[in-house]
Amino acid sequence: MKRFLAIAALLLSGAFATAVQADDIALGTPTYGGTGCTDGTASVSLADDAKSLTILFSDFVAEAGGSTNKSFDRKICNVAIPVHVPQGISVSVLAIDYRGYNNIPTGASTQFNVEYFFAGVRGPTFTKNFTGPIDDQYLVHNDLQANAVVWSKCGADVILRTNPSIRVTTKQNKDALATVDSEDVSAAIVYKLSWKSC
Amino acid sequence: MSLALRSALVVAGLWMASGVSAIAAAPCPPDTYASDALSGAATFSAIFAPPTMTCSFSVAAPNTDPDTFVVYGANYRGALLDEGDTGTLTVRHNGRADSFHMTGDFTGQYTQDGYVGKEADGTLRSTVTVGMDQVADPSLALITLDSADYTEVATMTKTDAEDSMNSVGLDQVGLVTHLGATAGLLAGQGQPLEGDDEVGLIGGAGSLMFGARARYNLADGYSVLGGVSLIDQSPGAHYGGAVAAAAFRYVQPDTQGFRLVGEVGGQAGLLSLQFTRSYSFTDTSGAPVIVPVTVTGSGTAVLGAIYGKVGAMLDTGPAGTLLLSATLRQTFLGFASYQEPFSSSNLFAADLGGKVQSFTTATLGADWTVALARDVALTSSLAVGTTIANNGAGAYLFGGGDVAGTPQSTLFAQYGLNLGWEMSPQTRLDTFVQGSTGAGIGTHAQVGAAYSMRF
Repeated sequence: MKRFLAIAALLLSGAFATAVQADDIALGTPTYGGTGCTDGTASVSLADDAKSLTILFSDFVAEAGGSTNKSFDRKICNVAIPVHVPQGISVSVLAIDYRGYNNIPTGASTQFNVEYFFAGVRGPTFTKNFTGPIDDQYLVHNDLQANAVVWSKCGADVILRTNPSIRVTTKQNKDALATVDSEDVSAAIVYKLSWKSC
Repeated sequence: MSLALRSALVVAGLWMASGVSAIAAAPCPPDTYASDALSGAATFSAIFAPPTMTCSFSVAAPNTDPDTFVVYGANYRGALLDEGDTGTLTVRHNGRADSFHMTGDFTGQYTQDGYVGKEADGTLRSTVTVGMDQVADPSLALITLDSADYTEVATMTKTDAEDSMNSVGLDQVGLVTHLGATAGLLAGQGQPLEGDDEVGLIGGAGSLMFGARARYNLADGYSVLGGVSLIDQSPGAHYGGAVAAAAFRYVQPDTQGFRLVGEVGGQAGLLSLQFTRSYSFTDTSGAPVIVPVTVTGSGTAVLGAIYGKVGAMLDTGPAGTLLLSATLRQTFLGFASYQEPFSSSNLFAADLGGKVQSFTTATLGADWTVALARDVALTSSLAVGTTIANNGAGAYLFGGGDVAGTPQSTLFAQYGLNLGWEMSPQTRLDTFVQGSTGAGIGTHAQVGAAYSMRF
């Protein structure tokens, strides 16, 4: 059986404007759940410095048509990443990259959606549509404008939330498949955090 | 709003409240739940429709300190397919419901904002219903709830929450005191103790009332009295509706100078009412800010009271009597429904629905009746008393659960003048002034008239 891997990597870059090495920004172990990442279908790797992590998905696949007899399918993965925010600092998402895979016939389509936010507030949302026929990898790259980002509370720990979802729709029961995928482990999903003094 | 309409609404409200039943829903615990001190995130994969699905979940509030009441902003995210289809997400929590009627857009995603309050056990509990309303292509229809995210937006201490109920408690004491005086008019209070069988109409302005009352003599010394009235009064709190009173009275048959009087009775009311509450909370959505709130809620309640009265009637001359009496009354006030409007400026809204309060009222009174002419009698009444709440005013507060204030009480004075004119052997016209006033409960005053026909 063909196995698809989806990989999420959260990378922190940049430098503090002030010396806060003693109480540094740090990521916690994320939790995940949803139809695209049910329990046991993802693995999390947190870097030693707690500033980056990788999530490997093994079942983030939407399939319609063919033996499924479905007109559409939708999969979603909700990820919650605890972020320790030192006093005097707030953080925000700045840029996102996605890679995935589409195998959809003529008349079928795929839609990828995601929102980046801190728990309890709204964040920027992104949508990417694909129209068949396609049998190819895809890359979604989002550079957020500075005035569009959502900043965390100053010096308060936050939960960074993401909810990528993928939906595939087909006609005449033709096989259609889409994934949040990574044959290239390096960057299926990249989250870049920024921070500022406050 | 007319009194009749108000009364109809009261009855309708009580009927509707009696028909409300708890929604039993299957559990749908989150797939995952992450939280820190201020926020929490719950994710779901099994809440979806069509046609509809209802289920309940509970998560630990980020702040579980039992002495801190907390309100969280809530974001509900999910999918609504297909574009142009409509669906509804309803989230029931804290005794309230947020309904979001939505139309699917090209993304098929939705985010809805609300609030949820911490319960007394430190949890956030919700019952969610998702359902499709209008669907163009059933094979493409879907509505889901994917996640619920919470972040703290406001706090208040449990002590402040309890203290905020004291003004409501005092308003309830005032209602019981003032309404007791009005209901007394329906059972002959402030009038000559003895009279013929009669029925008539009574109306008053100031504290509005309009109703009917009657007296029927059973046997020598024994009589029953009663009446019903629509009322609309605002001595402090505002209340209206219908009240009724009935009494069984014994007046010792004529003796030389000293006669015993005994009376037992009851009062009942179907009321719509409004109380005003003030409090402050801390807005923690940004830098902490103290926010003062003054809010008026509304609802419906049932009032019931029983009382006993003993006294002695003295002859004060060939045309006068003086009644000295003591009355003890126990009143119950049960709230069928009562809510303050919930909003971002009243995050810790109170709900009194289902609460029952009780009050004890003790009164010492004197009623002096004198015949001014062959067909005119004047009754002057004066009483002093106290009404004591047997428990603190209770409510369910959004963000913390059940609270109760300190039991409230008041000392009050009650007065009345009734001028009765025997218009004919079969009819009588009474005009009256009646009032009551007390510490912290405002003043209630009525000027009115009654027309009675003997039978």
